[in-house]
Amino acid sequence: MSKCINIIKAEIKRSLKESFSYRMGFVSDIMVLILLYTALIFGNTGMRLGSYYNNPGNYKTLFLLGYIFWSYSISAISLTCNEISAEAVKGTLEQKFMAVIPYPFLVLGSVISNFLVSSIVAAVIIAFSTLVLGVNIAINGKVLLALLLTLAGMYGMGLILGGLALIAKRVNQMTLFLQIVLLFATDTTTKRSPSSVAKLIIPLTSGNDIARKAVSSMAIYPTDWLQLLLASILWLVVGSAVFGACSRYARKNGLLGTY
Amino acid sequence: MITVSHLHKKYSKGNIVALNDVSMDIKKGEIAGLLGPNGAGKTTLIKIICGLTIPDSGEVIVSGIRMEEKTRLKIMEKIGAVFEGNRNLYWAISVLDNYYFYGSIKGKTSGQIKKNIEKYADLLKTKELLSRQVKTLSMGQKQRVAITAALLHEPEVLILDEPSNGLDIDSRFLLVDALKVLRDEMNMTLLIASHDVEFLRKTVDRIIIINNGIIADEFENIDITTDEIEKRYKISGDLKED
Repeated sequence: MSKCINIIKAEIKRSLKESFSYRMGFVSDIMVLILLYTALIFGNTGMRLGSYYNNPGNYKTLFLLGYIFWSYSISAISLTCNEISAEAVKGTLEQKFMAVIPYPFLVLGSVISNFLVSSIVAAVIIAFSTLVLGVNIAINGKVLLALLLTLAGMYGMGLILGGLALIAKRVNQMTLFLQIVLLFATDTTTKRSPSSVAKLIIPLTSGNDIARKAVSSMAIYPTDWLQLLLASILWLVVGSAVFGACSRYARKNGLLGTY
Repeated sequence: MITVSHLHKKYSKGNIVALNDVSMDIKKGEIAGLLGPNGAGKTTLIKIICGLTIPDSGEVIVSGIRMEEKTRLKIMEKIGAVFEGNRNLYWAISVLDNYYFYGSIKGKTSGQIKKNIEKYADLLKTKELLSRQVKTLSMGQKQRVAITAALLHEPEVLILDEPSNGLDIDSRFLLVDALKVLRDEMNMTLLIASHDVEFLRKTVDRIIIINNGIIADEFENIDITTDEIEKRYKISGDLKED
């Protein structure tokens, strides 16, 4: 167990050092997210959120909350597949598969490192929003819990893309498409009526809903949490199974070292 | 130390038979060279021994452990490997960070890694490179750093795929000497795949010829020339003699 923890810690450390060594990429990611956020705010995106959550004066805050959840989520789903594609190109993927613990534990290390980097991005967006646009946000325990549960599910979704990346390598376009779909299909930008079952299968939809209820002092029912929990568990289980199957397929067909 | 029995591997894509009934045995403390042209099956064989590719049939035993899904991770503690083409390291971080990372994923503690860096970085002359980012190193330096990284968990078996590619003359000599030290002083078993006859002749105890996915021959008389090898084993093409 301590061996496993040491290895996860080593991966977190390596991944953080690598992320910060690409400073320009890191800064440009923040710039893109801030520009997109600003454009959406000036377009009065999310006005309906205020009336839905009985909080019309704070619709921008509700939108910001969804935007932060979305930015964490896109980072989570693209992490595994981008990491796998990049490591296959670098040639380090095979070395990681030769570690003394299963590869998904190393992915967990990347996931934690990615969460820390995403938190810096989120902090910058929130600071920009508060200082420049006058839209602020009060994060409480329920919001954080909803975020962690949402991300668990979104990482499950990322594992599916990661598995496909082991076989097909370049699935970045698919990931980009999925990121855009998520922005509009998960009640991130607006909300018209109770979400459909199809939407609720995506953890980000339920996560957004719970977090907005939490900051609007609305009642959060046990069924809301259960919905999010089940959706996240479902994606984690399916994601792990797909990743395992893809990894075996890649090893059978000699695809690990190819890119 | 490494026993391979009746390995078969066919890639469905392109319908390529990569290995056809390959068997071999490498003793503890031996340096064995796997010689063959590009596409002979060397890399497939190495990747099967490293547990990265699953064979269609046959058996691999490393350090007395039969390679299976449930034993694969145990075997990983015993193997260090460097694959072809300077693609084994993280280029954006320092050599030292790479060392700690690779030592860690093989289950070593920071203290053990530190001790082994002293030992192996000295052997492969990579001590003066510790603070450098990998991307600033020459090809020869990268290769030496990658081999050092593969040694930090003190494996029983070291596997190298085309280690002499792109090396300058000094790095070649240094590498040959270092590999012999690993064998003579640490009783390590080495398997080196290469199409560089000269490098193998200077380094290995035994050469195993592989061509078209089959073991064509093996011999300890390493004075054989490239021409003789090409003629005798009907290998046309890209064997290299510097």
